[in-house]
Amino acid sequence: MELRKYLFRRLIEITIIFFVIMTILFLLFRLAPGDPVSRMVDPSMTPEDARHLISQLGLDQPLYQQYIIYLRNFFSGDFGVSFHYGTSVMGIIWDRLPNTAILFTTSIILSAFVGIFLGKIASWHKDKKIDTWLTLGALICHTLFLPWLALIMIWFFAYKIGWFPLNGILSPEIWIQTDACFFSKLIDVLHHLILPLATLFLIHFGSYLLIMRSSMLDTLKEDYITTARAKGLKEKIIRNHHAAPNAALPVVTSIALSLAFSINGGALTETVFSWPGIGRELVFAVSNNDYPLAQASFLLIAAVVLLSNFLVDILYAYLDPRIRY
Amino acid sequence: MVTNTSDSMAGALDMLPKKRQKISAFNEKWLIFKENFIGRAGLILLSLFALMALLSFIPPLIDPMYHPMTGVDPKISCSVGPSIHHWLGTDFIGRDILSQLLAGAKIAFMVGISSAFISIVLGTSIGMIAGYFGRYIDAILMRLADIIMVMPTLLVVLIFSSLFGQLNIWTIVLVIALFRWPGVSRVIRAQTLTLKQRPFIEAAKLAGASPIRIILRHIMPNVLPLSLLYMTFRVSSAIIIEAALAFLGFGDPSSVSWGMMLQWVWKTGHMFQAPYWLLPPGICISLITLSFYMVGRAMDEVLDPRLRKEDD
Amino acid sequence: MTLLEVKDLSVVYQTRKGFITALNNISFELNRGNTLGLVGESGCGKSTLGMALMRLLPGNASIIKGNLFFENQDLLKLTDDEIRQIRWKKISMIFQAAMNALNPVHRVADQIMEAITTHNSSLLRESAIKQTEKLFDLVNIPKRRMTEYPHQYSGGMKQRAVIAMALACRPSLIIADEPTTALDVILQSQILESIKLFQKKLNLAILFISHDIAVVADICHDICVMYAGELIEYGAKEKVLGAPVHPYTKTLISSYLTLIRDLRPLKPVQDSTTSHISNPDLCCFLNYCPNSEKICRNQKPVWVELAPDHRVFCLLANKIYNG
Repeated sequence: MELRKYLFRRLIEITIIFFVIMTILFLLFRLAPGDPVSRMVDPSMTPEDARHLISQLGLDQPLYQQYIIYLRNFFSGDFGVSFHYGTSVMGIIWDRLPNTAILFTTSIILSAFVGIFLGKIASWHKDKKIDTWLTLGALICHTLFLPWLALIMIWFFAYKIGWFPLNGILSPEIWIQTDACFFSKLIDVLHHLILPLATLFLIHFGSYLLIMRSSMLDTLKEDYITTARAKGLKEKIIRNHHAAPNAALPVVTSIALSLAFSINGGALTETVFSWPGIGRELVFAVSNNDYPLAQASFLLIAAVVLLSNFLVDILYAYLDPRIRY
Repeated sequence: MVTNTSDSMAGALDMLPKKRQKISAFNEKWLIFKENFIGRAGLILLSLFALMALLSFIPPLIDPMYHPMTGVDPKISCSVGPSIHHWLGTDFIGRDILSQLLAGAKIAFMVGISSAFISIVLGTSIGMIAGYFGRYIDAILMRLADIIMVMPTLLVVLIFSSLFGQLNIWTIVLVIALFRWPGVSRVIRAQTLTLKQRPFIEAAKLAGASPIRIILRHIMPNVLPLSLLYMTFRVSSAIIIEAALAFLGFGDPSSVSWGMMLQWVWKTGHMFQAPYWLLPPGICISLITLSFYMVGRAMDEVLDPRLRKEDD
Repeated sequence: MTLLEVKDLSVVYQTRKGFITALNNISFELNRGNTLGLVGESGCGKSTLGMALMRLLPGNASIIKGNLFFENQDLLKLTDDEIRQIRWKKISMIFQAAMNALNPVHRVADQIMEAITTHNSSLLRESAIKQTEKLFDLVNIPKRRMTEYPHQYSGGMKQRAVIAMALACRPSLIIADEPTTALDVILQSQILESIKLFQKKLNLAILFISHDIAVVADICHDICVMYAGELIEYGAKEKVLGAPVHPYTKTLISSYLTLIRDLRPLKPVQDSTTSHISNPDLCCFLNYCPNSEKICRNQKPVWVELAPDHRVFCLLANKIYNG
């Protein structure tokens, strides 16, 4: 019961935050220097279509009217038409969303699991060789410049060795084959996924490892660990059953707090690997002054961050009985 | 009257050893820091980068062709590998990569430190105010922090540059700073909340000190080390964001940064042919973030006695 | 019958500033069913002693000499696996801070059951649950709260749960490290009463570590007084508290008595952590001792046996005792 109340409260908070971001974005796009009309209306439109769109968006009406129209359009899923593609923004975004979701979730989950696991090992061998190497490796991976790492990965694994494709999500030859079965498509996508996934993984797992390590070292000093030792439990049980579940909690919190930062990395990775996701679309839209697409992608990315935050909250509540009860 | 003077004398005498104590505490911390391998390595790396930034003024003086932005070797108009005249080679229009690299160090320090400084000043003051005053001030400021925290800074700067056109380097610094304070302010707020419970704050309140005086005189000195620690981490993240922005092609076109060098290598299709051009800027960005991070971690160990080796 | 015999136990801590002696030549005995009180101010090494008996000292501490005989085997000679078999099954512990002694992410009953099943792996789950239920009954915690987590318990209940856990494997020795310090007076007396009750019921030996003389006087048969890592007076409760001989014991008791009787000016007990003397062989209380004489500065202190159940580590013991 407590849990439901807690999650409900978080959900409301998240919704409010989302609306605030939406409003800020609205104001930015209307009040930034320059003509807001030029940002909403495709310059290549015929004057008649343009006039129609201006009245549809309420750009000739006062700000609050425009805001109401903005909200109404949002709830009906209408984000306008992309200047660059000439198609509905919503359609483009729905098309890109799964790609981003695959890359983002797999990289976060994989790096969290590996980071927590290795951090546990490092803490257990504190100040020994394995700890030094793991910590050093994590530090270096964590501070590598992501786009550069991505370029190096492409240069080495795709260009020099040729194990993986240079970029993209599907090979053209499979794309063209209309009779290609689902399975071969899946294999091809996975083949394309490995390099960007490895890049994001290398960047992220280090920080989780470092947090888990120091959190584990703190936890091992807790009284209940002494209790567990005094109870005559095996060290392995103490480490995995008594220390790790407590030590993992700060890691989960830090995952939630770093989600926004991870999205930055996601956008960069997508751009370098030409992975057709929302982050790359945002970068493209900004380069091409495709304002409706930029606005919608940003909003969606904010929504993704908030939603993942909520999922992490659920996970946290599941892991920590002090919140569950 | 007499007792009063003797009291104040005693007070003055008390002050002396206290001050000495403070200095020795600082010395002790410095000693622990120096013992720390990670901290030492970080400091050495940082001084190398500082040296690079200082040296960046020299190449253009030798020959205008070494100017990182406008200097072009008249004999070379494409990217060639290292040679006697160009120790690290040249870029696609014949500019010297080494002098670009040195100029990049200057930009990295400038962006990193100024942006981190602004965000730390913001974060520390907002954290102290929220923590000290509590109630609705706290609620408003912390909700604001929540909102900013879920916005990916890089993408926010991207949106800004799409709205306001090409951003110059100081605008970039400012925007990064404005979006990177919430993490600091949360930590400072938590610290302020615990400090508020301490008797000396209560005593200062009873003595009639104004809130501003309490914050400045009693709380700030106690949270400042923590702010300084966070500043080293913020320097790293500011450098990374600026580099990423430049890499995507939204940097300040009037200055050469490492991110921009990477963008040129990438966009001009030299990444497979010119490792001498691809490697240095990336290594520099990674190493400078690493060294700030290492200094930060070492400071963390100094400030947090729980992590010290002796209470294993 | 002697259950535990500690002989010349010495422990040092390695710190940044060098080695610090935490325990120096501690020797005492504890019989089955008896309670031995260990009194001394904070930092005198009481808790280190408790941890040393379980061989749970932190990594930077080491036992440099001595023997720990428990049921006629030397605990210090056992392998890690063997000592693990002894922990909790034979010697269990009630911890100083019950709030933190329970793991916040596991149910209380599970934590108690874990102690039972670890040392009796053939036990069926059902009978382990039965045993746990009995333990909850014993310490008066309602059974419906078995499935709850530590944060749902009140402070006193947590303390009782910790006691139930200590009793789980029917140990022959319990080390109680300030079990009541964090509790209010009413809870404290309840807990002490129940500890006394279990001791009678189960014929437990208890090593009771406390800085509170009143509590120790209430519950213990024998008393050890510690100062700066050394044992300085050891004997039956009536002797040590009724007719203290060592100047430190006297100061300790008088400062306690002034609290309840007032009148006499308080004699502050000096902080033992700063009182390290240049010559470690001399009496550790030398610098603060009101009775010290020239002989104290020239000779090592010795154990003086004033009665079969009363020993004092002081050169002047006879002199003080007799007049």
